[in-house]
Parts: sequence; C-alpha cells; structure tokens
Amino acid sequence: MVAPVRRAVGWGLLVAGAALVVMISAAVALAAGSVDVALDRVVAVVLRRCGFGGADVTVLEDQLIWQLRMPRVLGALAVGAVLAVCGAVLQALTRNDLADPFLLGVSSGASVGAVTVIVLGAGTVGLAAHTLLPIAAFIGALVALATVLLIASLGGGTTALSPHRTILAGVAVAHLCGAYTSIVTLMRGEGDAARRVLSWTLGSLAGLRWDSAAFLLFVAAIALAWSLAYAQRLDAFTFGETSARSLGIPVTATRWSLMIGTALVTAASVAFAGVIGFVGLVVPHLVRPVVGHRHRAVLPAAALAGGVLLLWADTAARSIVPRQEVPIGALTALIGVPALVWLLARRSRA
Amino acid sequence: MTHRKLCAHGETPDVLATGLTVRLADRTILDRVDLFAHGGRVTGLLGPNGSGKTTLLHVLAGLRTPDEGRVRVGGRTLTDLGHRARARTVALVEQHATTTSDLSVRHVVGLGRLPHCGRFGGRGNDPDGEAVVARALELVGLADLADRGWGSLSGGERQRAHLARTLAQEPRVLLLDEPTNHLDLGQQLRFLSLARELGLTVIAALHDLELAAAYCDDVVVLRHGRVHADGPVTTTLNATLLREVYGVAGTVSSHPRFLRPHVVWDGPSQEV
Repeated sequence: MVAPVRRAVGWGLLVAGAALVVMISAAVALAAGSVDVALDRVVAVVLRRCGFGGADVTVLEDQLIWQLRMPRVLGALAVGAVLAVCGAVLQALTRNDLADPFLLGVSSGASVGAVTVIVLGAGTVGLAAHTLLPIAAFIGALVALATVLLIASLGGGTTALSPHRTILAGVAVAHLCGAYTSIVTLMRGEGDAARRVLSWTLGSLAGLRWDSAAFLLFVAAIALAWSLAYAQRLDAFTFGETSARSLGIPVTATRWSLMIGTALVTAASVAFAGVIGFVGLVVPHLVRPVVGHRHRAVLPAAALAGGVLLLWADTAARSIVPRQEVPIGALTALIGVPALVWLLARRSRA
Repeated sequence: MTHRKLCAHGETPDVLATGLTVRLADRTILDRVDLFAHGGRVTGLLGPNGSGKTTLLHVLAGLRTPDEGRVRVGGRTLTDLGHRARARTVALVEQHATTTSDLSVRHVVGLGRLPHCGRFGGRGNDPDGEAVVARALELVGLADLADRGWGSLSGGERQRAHLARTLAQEPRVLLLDEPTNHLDLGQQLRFLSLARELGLTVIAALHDLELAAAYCDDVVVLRHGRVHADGPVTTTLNATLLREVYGVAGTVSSHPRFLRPHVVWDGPSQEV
C-alpha cells in the first residue's frame, strides 16, 4: 500500500506545484503592463471579485485588472495550452519532430479568412471587424483543413492520411493560401491594411474580452481531455504505424479523429489569437526530457508549459515597449528558436 | 497436395490460411498462398527478397486484408475479430522497429497490454497487467533493464524487448519478421532459442537457411508470391530448392552431429 500512497502524494505535489506556477505567473502578468499595479492591489481586486472583502478597490483598478487584463491572461493560458497539446499529439501521430498544430493548413486558411475581412471589407455585412474577423478566420481554417484532408486521402487505401502525404498536402495548401493573402494584401490593401494583416499573422491577444476568453478556456479543456483519452493510443504509435496496428489500434480511425480534432481546436484559438508559432512545435520537446515520453504525462505537462510560456510572452509583448505591442509571434520565436537549437545540440551529443 | 503434406500430424492446424491473394496496383504480391502452422511448432517462412514474406506476415497478423482468401486462427476467421481481439490472438515482431522516443523498457513492454485494456486505455479491466509485463521481462531476460531507456539498449536487447511486448499481448500465435537481421550470431541463436521455448505457435520469416534448419520444424518457401515448396524442414530444404529459389549452387547434407540439414553453398548458380 506504500507505493500507491507515495504515488498519490507525488501527484498531489505536482498538481499543487503546477497551480502555484500558474497563479504566480498570472499575478505578475496582471500587475505588469503599460500601467504598473502593485501586486497587493491585484490580489485585492481578484479577492473582491471572488467575494472575499477588498472593499477599498477602486473602479479603475477593477476595470484595468479584471475587465482588461484578466481575460487576456486566461486567453494566453488557454491558447498556449491548446497549441502545445496539439503539437504533442501531431508529433506522436506523424512521428515527425517538426510537426506543429498548423500542419494541416489551419493557420494559412485562417489567414485567408482574416485577410479577406481586413482588406476587402470589414463592415460590408453589417458586422464589426472584431466580430467578423474570428468567424472568417475560423471558416478559412475549416476550408483549408477540408482541402488538405481531401488531398491527403485521395485514392484511399492504406496510404490515405499517411503522415507523409498529409504533410505534403499541408505544405501545398499553405502555399496556395499564401499566394492569395499576398496578392490580396499587396494589390487591394489600402492605408494600413498591410500592417494590420502582418500584425494578425504574428498573433495578438490584444482586445480579448471575457466572452472570448471563456470560450478559449472551454476549448483548451476539451482539447486536453480529448487528447488524454487517446494518451495510450498515442504511445502505441511510438514504433510506427505497423506496430500500432498490431497492438490492436484502429490506426486510420485514430488518425482521422485526432487530426480533425486538433485542427478544430487550433482553428478556434487561431481565430481569436492569430497565428502564434513555435509554441506547438517547441513546448512538447521541452517537456519530454522532464516528464518522460508517456503521453499521460506529456499532454498535461505540455498544456501547463505552453500556457505559462504564452502568458509570459504576452506579458512581455505588452510591457517591453511603452504604448506599443510587440507581436507575440515574434516573441515566441525569440524564445523558441534558442530552445530548439539547445535541444538539437543536446540530442546530437546524446 | 500442400494440405496433405502439412496436415500429416493429424490435428487441425492452429493457423490455417487458404488462397491468400494480395494485389498492389497491377502487381500480384501474393498469389493463392496456402499456409498451415501447427500449435507449438515453429514454421519458417523462406524465400528471396521481394518474394512476399513480409506481406504474408502482415496478412497473417490481420494488419492487411487480402484481396482473396482468408486466415483462420484457432478456428476463428481473423477478419471477424475486432482490432483488440485480433491483437490478443496474433502478435508481430517487426523487422526493425525503432523510435527516437526514450520510453523505458517496462513501458515499451507494457504497450503489449493495450489490447487487454479498455478502448481508451483504461487499466481497470486489466488488473494483472503489471504481473504479465514483469513475467514477460523475466522470460526474455530483461528484468534487470526494465527501467532503462530505449535509447540505451543494444540491438539484441531491443529485439528481446519487442519479443517481450508481444508476449505481454498473450497471443496464441507469434509472428516474427526477420527478427535476427541486425543481431550478431550469439544474439541470433539466443533469440531464436527463446522464441522456440515459448511453446507458442511461431511463424518466422528468416533469411538465414542455417538458422531455419536449426530452429524450424516446418518451412514454407515463397517465390514470386507463390508457395514454391512446403513441408518439414528436414525434407524440404535441399539443393534443388537452393538452385530454384535462391539461384545458388550448393549442397544440403545432414549435419553430422545435430541431424539437421546443413547448407553448403558453392556460389551463384549459372541459370537464375
């Protein structure tokens, strides 16, 4: 009976540690920004909102911390978690270390939708741009996904949706979408359209409101639960497709459901946050040396690390340069590239 | 004729494959292959590269549905079984399955319990899973390395870990696809002795005729996707077979000490 107890205590400590990391990061993120707020004021605002005292909180403080910064903090945690979990799933499924959540053309499809709205006509259908943009991006992502899956499963048979074909189809569709976005942006873009397109493509959590943040948290929870249900099947892909099949895994069905599932949750987060690279690619590689290679551990660890990483990146994005936002995609690349290089160096030594 | 020869033991074969045909585009990979393997015996699958050995093993493992013909294992048609029931019936050791992931040996072997777990991997319906894994590790002699990472294993240890994984599946039939390809001689002999001692019905694709002669009871020889010859290894392996199937001139004698066929080749034969 000792081992299970010890294991339970270990898990308890782990969860408590994770919660602590998230809470400290969130507190710092809520305090930092164009206007710095003292940490005790942050705590007071949050406590008051949770119904514990804090009568001395001013309306301005509440507005800034609870209405403006909190949704952004939660959104960052959610988007980072979604991207990292999807990256881990797709890397296992395709047995490709370079797989990331945008493998299936989701980001480029979303860009087509976003560019269409930004350049060709916000307001033409009577909706404000900030409502229309996520919807258009999501639809664009779905169309691209459908195209990639169609190309990847042409001809059917056992090669349908094989990693190789799927990656090629994804690359092809991404280039097609890229052609559209550059033509539209350069030939029809007026005023600062090109700048807005570029800034959307590099991702931003600016202007995220409570309703979107709540939706993103819901998406993240679904993504984590859904992928955890597949944790052992993903382990079975370790030695490749034949081995997975011989272990009784319905390989093709698993592929379809996980590829479509990851693409949908990625599309949902891209719709609100734009294309944020490197989190989905690098975070799974960062957590594996720490927690091991079993997906039951990798997936929650990736969700945590991805969420916290993106939160820090977003906090930096809105605080480094006064009164201006650094594109978050650029910051994740600045962190991600050295991390990737370090990993490569470490692996080549091993 | 095939049927009569291999059924001479008078019992129903454990694996009974009839008329297996697999086509790929306009090529016929397997052409009406019949194969019978008896319980507890080792059946060698011989033939040159590209003769269809791996495809046949994949069909026998239920990983590939043949265009014609069917496979019965222990009286049940393989394609009628669900994915997981199939994986509890036949298990396959691949030729060279590796990974960059650094799972522990125990976990790799534990993968073999997947077909015994719930659909989404719940361990609830597999209470003795850990004991089965421990026993499998013990059997292949990897108990001491159970917590080592995959990356630190030698080729022979890896193949033994794969064997343990398939044993954890608790199958009725064990399929081996050239399992000794990357092993040194000592490891080759130890691996095949081990596979033989398990008492399972084993079907093994082998390149090395000397190994086949030493470890197989029966052989099935494929050539261009057809069964060229089959029967007990002592009578099937002969000089004619060497020439016709492998294009090799040589002699097969009875080994002076072990009473098993002993292959001596002279070189490639003139008419291939």
